[in-house]
Amino acid sequence: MNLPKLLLLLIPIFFLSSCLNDYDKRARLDLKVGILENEWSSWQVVAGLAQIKEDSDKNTITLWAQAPAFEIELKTGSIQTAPTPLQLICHNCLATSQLKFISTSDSTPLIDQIPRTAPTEKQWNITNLQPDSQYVLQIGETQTGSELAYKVAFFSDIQKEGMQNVEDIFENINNYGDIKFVISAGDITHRGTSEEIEVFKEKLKTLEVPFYTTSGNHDVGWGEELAWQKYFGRNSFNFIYRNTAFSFVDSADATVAPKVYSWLDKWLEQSLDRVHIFIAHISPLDPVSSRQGSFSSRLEAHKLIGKLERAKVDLALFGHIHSYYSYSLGTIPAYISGGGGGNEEKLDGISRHYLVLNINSQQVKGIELVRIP
Amino acid sequence: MIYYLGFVFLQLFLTPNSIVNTENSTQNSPHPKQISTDRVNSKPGSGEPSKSLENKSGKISKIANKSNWTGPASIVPGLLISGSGQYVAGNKKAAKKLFFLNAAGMGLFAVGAIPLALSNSSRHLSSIAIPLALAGGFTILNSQFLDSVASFYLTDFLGKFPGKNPWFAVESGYFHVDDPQFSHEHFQKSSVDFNYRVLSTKLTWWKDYAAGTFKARTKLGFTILGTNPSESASLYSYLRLSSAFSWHKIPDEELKILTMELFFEGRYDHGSLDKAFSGTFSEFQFGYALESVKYNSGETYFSQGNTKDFLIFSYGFGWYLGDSRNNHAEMIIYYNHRQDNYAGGMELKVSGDGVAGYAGLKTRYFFSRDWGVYSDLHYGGGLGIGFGVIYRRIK
Repeated sequence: MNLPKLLLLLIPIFFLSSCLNDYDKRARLDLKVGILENEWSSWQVVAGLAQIKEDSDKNTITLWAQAPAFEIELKTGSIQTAPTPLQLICHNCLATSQLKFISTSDSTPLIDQIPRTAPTEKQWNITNLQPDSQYVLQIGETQTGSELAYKVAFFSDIQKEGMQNVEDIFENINNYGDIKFVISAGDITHRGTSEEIEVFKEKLKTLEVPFYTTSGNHDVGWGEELAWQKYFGRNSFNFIYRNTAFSFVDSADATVAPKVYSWLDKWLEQSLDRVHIFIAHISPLDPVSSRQGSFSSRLEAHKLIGKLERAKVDLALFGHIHSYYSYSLGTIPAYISGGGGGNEEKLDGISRHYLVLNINSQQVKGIELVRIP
Repeated sequence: MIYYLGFVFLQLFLTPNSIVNTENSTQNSPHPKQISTDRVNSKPGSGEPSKSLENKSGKISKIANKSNWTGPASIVPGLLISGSGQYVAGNKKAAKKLFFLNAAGMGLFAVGAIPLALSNSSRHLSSIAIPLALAGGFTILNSQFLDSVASFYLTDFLGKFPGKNPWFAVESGYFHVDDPQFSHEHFQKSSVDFNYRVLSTKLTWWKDYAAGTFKARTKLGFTILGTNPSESASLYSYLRLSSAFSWHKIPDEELKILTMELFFEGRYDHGSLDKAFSGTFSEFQFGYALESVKYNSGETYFSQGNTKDFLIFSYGFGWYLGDSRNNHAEMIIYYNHRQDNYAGGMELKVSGDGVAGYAGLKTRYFFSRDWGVYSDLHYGGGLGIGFGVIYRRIK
């Protein structure tokens, strides 16, 4: 075999191999989300529930929250002292969020809350951080009121077409009243670039509640490998709010990474007695079977459905298909809500929309379809 | 992609080093009768008669007027205008057939794909439009495969259907699955075939002894058109209505899957289309399957939410190699739209979801009247590699 023929053979092999295991890589990188080390400290957001970075002025730590409440482990070094005051900014936070130190190895630092500049932004000045100490900080609602019913909005698939006027959806959610936060199954952008995400984050300032999302196939794998994790955080994560577990799972490549399955197994086991809502971009099975807008393997689809069913998950939510579907995966009620404005499925009588989930401590009491006029 | 892989494969392993100076290979060609008068009497493209039309033995040589341009012409402009290679080769009759085959494929593809694209895969159109788009797309590919294979003179090295199918065959071998989602990996795979008049039956089973995964599938086919499975024929084409029933158990994931299928399947010997294409054939399947899954031990099949249907569609382009019952082979490069196999479907960057099935290459080689070997390599989300021995009885 001569060299040109060998190259001819290698091209498709390279093409095929380059398509492999993006999802594994994302899962590995998820583990690095929420970790920050600088000259005077090391920070770790527990379970990676927020993206964390240090601003260029070295006096400010900025967080992008992916959960209504989370904890941060902080270790200060012995050589260099913390800036005084240290400014901590949390974006995408609940308006009622508060910062507190729940564990310290030294005297409790002082917290001074600064008036917020945006509905989902919280800022605090922290002073009196001691060198060579360990702290655990908590950001979230002080009283969780796990028995209280609440509402959550869900929608996905904004993409290029929907980005122009996504503020309409945000305004509608703001006006609906009593929505605690928005959850999404991804495809926020068209190609997942930093520019697109920055545009979206700018528009997100008009939404008065936090927006928690996993990634979609349009958000990852198109070039800027780390953009999603840099701006939003983990692709797969889990949090608990008022006795409801929310498990966001990265299925953007029509599969779930084996590592993520191992996380999911733990999340399912930990929340057997809770209401459990599962969120992923691509549904394991397409309700219109011949279309196959679903996992690439039916066996894997059944593997996932089996896990969810045996753990008695209460609800499964997906995007990817730009319409609205109510169906079931095994015995689990499932919904697709891809009404963010991305190139819509035609002839379905449904345009831009979002869902409102009415949840109490026992169950998802009801799901309402809200159309955007 | 399949076309590209097929083309690469052809280029690497089947194209002779020089297609203009291999007189010996031509003399050994199984198709001396395929030399068309058009090819012999004129130099392609020039309109002039060839200077060397006969070899020393007095037989007409089809080497003499082979052109280096027919193969490339089947690619450019052949990828757009199918039949270009055969047109340059002077086989205008075959070129015309390929052109119309391609046009029919484009028509089918357009009827399926345009409504899909305009409606962004509407739920009301998908069940009809997707099979049409697939059928059209693979008809286009088939015409382009044929043009390339004939225009690169690969058919000179091909064989033909050996005349008859076995009435009984047993296959047994190893099947390896590379899929990190499941613990099963090493399967023993076996199958038994019976052919009787218009009926063909096949029982296949897969077993991974370590993981406990087991699958059994039985298929019954009824020949509607063409050659019966037990009949003698020089060209082997058929259309069957088949049904299949399978049961699948994956203990590690606590899954039990029951699948019922009803589909048409067929093979078309391209020698029927034109002698220039002798030695090649295409295969297809089209139908629907109903799948029911028990996710829990207490659950029953066909209860709420655990039963879904899916489309069955496959296409294959095949070659016969050798032409006697004692020494022949067939090789098929194929695409299967199903995703319920062990390798799953390919993960495509383009759509991001699992819209595609898997693609592969399967071969069967018989080195004696009764014995042979087989292999199957396919790529989806995972990889499947199988090989083993075949024992058969031919009446």
